[in-house]
Parts: sequence; C-alpha cells; structure tokens
Amino acid sequence: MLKVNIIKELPAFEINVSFECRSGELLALVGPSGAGKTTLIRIVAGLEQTDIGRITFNGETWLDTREKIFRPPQERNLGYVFQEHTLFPHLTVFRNAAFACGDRSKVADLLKLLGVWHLKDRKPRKLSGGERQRVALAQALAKDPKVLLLDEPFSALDVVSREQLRGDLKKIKEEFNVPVIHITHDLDEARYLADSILPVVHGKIDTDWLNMRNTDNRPNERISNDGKIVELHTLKNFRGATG
Amino acid sequence: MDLTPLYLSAKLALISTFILLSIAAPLTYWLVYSPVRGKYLIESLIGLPLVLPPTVLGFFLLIVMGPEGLFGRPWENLTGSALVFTFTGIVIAAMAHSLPYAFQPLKTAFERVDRRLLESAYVLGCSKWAAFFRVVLPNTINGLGAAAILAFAHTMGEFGVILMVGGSIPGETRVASIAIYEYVEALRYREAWLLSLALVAISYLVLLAVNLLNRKGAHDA
Repeated sequence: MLKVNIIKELPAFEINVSFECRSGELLALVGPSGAGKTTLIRIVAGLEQTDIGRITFNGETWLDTREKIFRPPQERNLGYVFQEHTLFPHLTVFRNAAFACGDRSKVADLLKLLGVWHLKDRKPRKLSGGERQRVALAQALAKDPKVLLLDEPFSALDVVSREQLRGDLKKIKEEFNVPVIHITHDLDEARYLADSILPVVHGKIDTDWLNMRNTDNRPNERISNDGKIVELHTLKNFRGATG
Repeated sequence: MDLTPLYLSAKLALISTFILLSIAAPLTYWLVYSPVRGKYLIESLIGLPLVLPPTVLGFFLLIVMGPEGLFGRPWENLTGSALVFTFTGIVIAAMAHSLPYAFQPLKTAFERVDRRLLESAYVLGCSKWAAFFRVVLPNTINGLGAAAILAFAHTMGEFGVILMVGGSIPGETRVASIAIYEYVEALRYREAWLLSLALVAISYLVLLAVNLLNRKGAHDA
C-alpha cells in the first residue's frame, strides 16, 4: 500500500493532500489544469521536494520530512510515464524499453503485449504519439516497478489512440499488481479506468467540485469522500457517501 | 622546409583538446545541472581567458607552473622534471586558454537537452553520472564536436600563452605560430608564407566542419 501525505506551499496556493493506494488499485487524480496534480506525483516520484510530508510504500519510508528521510527517485523503483517526449531520442524502441532492464525476453514480451514489437528497431522520432506512449509504458514496466505513475499519458493523443491505450492500460493494470496513480482531466477516462477517483482542486481534495461537474452527465453517480465511484441506485447510504 | 613546428602544433592541439574535453564536459554538466549557487562566479572565471591578453594569462601560468609555483613545485617533486618550457607545460597552458572555447558550445548543447529526459533516466534508476554518460553525452554529440573543433583550432593558432610558458625550444615547444613569428623576424618570408598558408588552410577546414555540424544539428532538431 502506498501512503501519501503532503503539504507544499506553491506561489498561488498550498497543496495539502493525503491519500492511499493499494496494490492493484488504479487511483485517478482528476482536476483542472494547474491544480497541483503533477507536482503531487512528482513529489511521490522524488523529482520534487515538499515542505512537510511522509510517503511510505509497504512500510518502507520514501520520504519523511520530520525524520529528514528522502530517498531519491533512483531508490524508489517507480515507473513514471510523462505526458510526452521522454523516450531517449538516440535509442531504438527496443533499447528504450530495455533502458532499465537487462532481461531481453521480458522486454520483448512487453513490447508485444503493447503492440509495438514490430517497431523495435525504430527511433522515437519515427513513431506516432500513441506508439511513443506505448513504448514509454513498456519502458516503465520493464523494470518491475513497485508503483506506476502516469502523468496525463494520453492527453496529447488523438481520440483513436487514446481509446486503444486506455484498453492497454486496463490490461496492464490487471497483469501488474501494483498501485497505479493516473493523472487525467478527462472524467470519462477516469471513470473507465479507475477504481478510485480523487479530485484535486487548488491543491486540496474536493469531491464537491467533481460531483457538481459529474451531475450533468451521470446524474446517478457520485464520488465518495474516499474517492470511490458510487452508483446512487445501488447505494443505500448515499448521503453518507457524498459527505 | 622544416615541418616540425606544424607537427608540434597539431600534436599539441590534439592532445590538449582530448584532455580538455575530458575535463570540460563533466565540469560543464555539473555547472549546468547542479543547483549550486553562484555558478556565474565560476562561469566568469572560466571565461576570463576570452578577455585577458594572452601575455597576462601566460604570465600567471608561468608563475603558477614555475619551479616555485603552486602547481609547478608539487609537479616537480612528483615527476622530477619541470613544467615550464616543456611540451607538457604548453599542453596545460593551451588547455587553460582554450577552456572557454570548449565550455560555451558544451553549455549550449547541455542546456538544450530536455530535462525531462534526465528525470526519466533518474526514475529508471540512473545516477546523475550514469545519466550523463547514457543520456546527455549521446544527445550532445554535435555540441561535443563543435567544442572539440573550436578548442583544436584555437590551440593550433595559439601564440602568446605558449611563448610565455614554453618559450621557443625546437622540437619541444616551438609550435607553428611561434616559428612564423621567428621566420618573419629573420626575414625568412618564404617559410613564413608556407607555414601561414598551412595554418589558414587548417583553420578554414575546421570552420567548415563547425558550420557543417551546426547545419546538421539544425536539421536534426
């Protein structure tokens, strides 16, 4: 279980968020642009510092500002798929995917699973956006990460590629039993993929913000305080769930 | 005609460029990517040879590398030989003088590398130095090439600093530019012409190579 507790002062607002994510669970962080979502997962990855915070994974402390513990990203064994353009341009698809993994057959299996094996000898600049993100996903998964972080990996893609990648991610989520944190501003995407949805607005968890936007499209659906998507007609204690 | 000065210049330029790049590339990487405060102080120091008269730089190097100097004395204790007026001495002097010529293209090239590539490498388990060798260097080949060519060309034409530190010892420190100066002093214009034309040709080829690299870099980007 990944446990995150972060307070960080930004120029415009303060991030103050606590959440947990179990192995095999996909937690979607949704919210408007500039809400602090990316900063949040960059802190989880160890790419950014925080003022106050504690991050643990299965009892292993990655960050504890009170105890002055900080494990750099290299020691957290994460998979991180960025929004775009983070494949190494000088390496082929295969060597990109194998960047952190010496097991060639495993890399081959992953590339096949994600449908990009036939592109293994190409350089990233010869790939489409969707293909690049598939390779990035293979690269992140090849090292057997303990946690998978996805920062709007589909946002720069066309609708068809996005749909295909959503399917791939669902497949991967079932195969790799790790906590997955997925940033998106697409509610449909979150609803399709996520086990839990955490709306982040101005650095805080704000379920009301999400439920207000959600009512138009899905009047029978609400996000509970612990991030679960709940169907009103199946939920007896709706009042309690929405807080 | 004696071609030894031209050979010495080329040997000096090749050796000093190779050692200089081995030092300048990690130094520049550290300066560009580390969150060290007051980087501009170090960068200004590196750039000093660009504005100093070569005689001034040569004078300070002569003092530091001399038998009683901060660097010269331990060197002599360690190796048993002097630094000034030797080929090794002019290699060090040439490196000091060419450092800013290598630093600037390296800095520009390193700054162009997308920082997300480095972050991606860190998340994939690379240390900062592993990321330097596995990600930064392969993506800055053109910048490295430009730095090498400029340092090489600058050293080929080096005069003042080498004269101060190395004097003019035939076969040891009498490089092409110094030989040309001495030929002119002795009114041996034919030799001066030939050596000068050889340096012009080499310099032109070097600049041509830089321009081709830049065009290739712009095309690849």
